[in-house]
Amino acid sequence: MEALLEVTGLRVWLGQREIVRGVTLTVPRGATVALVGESGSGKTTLLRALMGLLPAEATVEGSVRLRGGAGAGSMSLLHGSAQHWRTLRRRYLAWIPQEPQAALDPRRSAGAHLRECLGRGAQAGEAARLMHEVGLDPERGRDYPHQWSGGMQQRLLVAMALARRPRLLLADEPTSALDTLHQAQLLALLRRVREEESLSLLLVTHDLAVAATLADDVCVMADGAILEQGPVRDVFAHPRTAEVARMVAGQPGNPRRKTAGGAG
Amino acid sequence: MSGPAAMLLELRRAGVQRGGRTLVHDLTLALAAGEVLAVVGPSGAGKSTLGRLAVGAEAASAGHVLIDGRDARELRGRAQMIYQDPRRSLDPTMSVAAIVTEGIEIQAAADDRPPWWRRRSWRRERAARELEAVGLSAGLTGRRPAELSGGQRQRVAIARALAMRPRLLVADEITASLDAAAGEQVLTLLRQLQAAHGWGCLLISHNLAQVARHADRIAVMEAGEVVEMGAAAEVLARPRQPITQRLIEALPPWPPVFALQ
Repeated sequence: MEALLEVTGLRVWLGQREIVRGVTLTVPRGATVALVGESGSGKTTLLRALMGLLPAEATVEGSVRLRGGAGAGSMSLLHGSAQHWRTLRRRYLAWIPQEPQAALDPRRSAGAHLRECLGRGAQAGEAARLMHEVGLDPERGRDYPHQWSGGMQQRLLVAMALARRPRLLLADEPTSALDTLHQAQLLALLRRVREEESLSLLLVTHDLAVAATLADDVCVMADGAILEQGPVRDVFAHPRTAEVARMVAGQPGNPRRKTAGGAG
Repeated sequence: MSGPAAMLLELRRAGVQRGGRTLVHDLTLALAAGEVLAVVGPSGAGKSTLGRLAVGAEAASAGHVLIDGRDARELRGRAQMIYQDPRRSLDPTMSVAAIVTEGIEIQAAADDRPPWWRRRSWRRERAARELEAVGLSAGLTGRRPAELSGGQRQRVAIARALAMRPRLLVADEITASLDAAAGEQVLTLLRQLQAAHGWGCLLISHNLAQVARHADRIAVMEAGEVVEMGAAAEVLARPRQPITQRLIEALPPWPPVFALQ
């Protein structure tokens, strides 16, 4: 499959500390790659580097390239002007952050957040459609998201990311604040948009069951480096390192296994 | 458990209304000392409101909330709450030792103010003991919350809460930001501490796998009400309410079922 995102030898230092230590990974077009690992393993820093959201004191080395449309060549994601990043974030990349509250403006309604992401050319009712799509009541577009639960805020962020019709969606623990019903709904939603809009997804999660359900490939990170990577089935069914074997064994079994079909 | 007199926390038809909206309605439940009651349910079901009622942070607009038979609102401090994100509940400018010492001071001031409570050496020694109890090494006491891992931060929050010697601990999604291994360690620690001290615990969680291992009983909430309550193993193995069945069935399979992909 053709690569959409190619990360080669990426290193990130914050001050003296090397947080990401030489990561190489590929996200094929239309595929989902899960980035798993324990907290502090460098997953979020890697994602932030891809979005140009590292703190000013960070030092970055290596290459990150995003392929454009057919024959459009590729763009570097590491070094660019503020204008370059704005274009990238508006047209190619969307980010679902880990902490919904910090990403939402307390002075604006849910609908206003969505309309801003949709832009001026959007059809009337598009904001309501997106709210419905992520499982929010479209009648509550006038609510301020700070009146909502964390799960509802997270679903609003997903709707905002989808509003930009991105090529690559970077999601940082998008389901960790959700109950199992909304998690299943979100996983089903991500699976659907991935197919309908040939969206690629880089999913950071600490839940191996979520990774196994949604992803094609998985990269297991520890201490800033990738321990193992490959198709989910290979890595989880036949781990090659003791660390990954321990992680797979340590994931608690869910009370009742689904016996048929996809979630939601 | 020996009848209603032994109950630590009791909600009797408690309800909360705010801005014309009913957040929780007609909640009746009891929690014994030494027990873990998990509260599960979809977001917006009223789980956190129940938690705030139990610690006296929220006033019931109907019914009663009692701790040891007395109004929970008058007993703040006897019930402590720990949150999902300790980065928000712990003061980022304070060291680990100072955060725990603050809890000790609050408790000493509220209690009998032992004659030595202002003595620095006493406070320092007690802070060290509280931190040791949650498995934080002495080398971490000078650090600020941002310099700790998520699991370590949650241990600091637990140490601070327990320093106030609560009768009831409400843990509101305390492992939702942690990876599976760190979350498991925090809950195992919580149960060990509970066995030693005997407080009651309301464990608010959307993680059913976790609840299955760490709760004695489960209360399932939907739309502001408790719709099902029972022994944890029983509720998970034989859920009676549709919402409980849906919550369980919605879990992504683990171990993974690759044959279906």
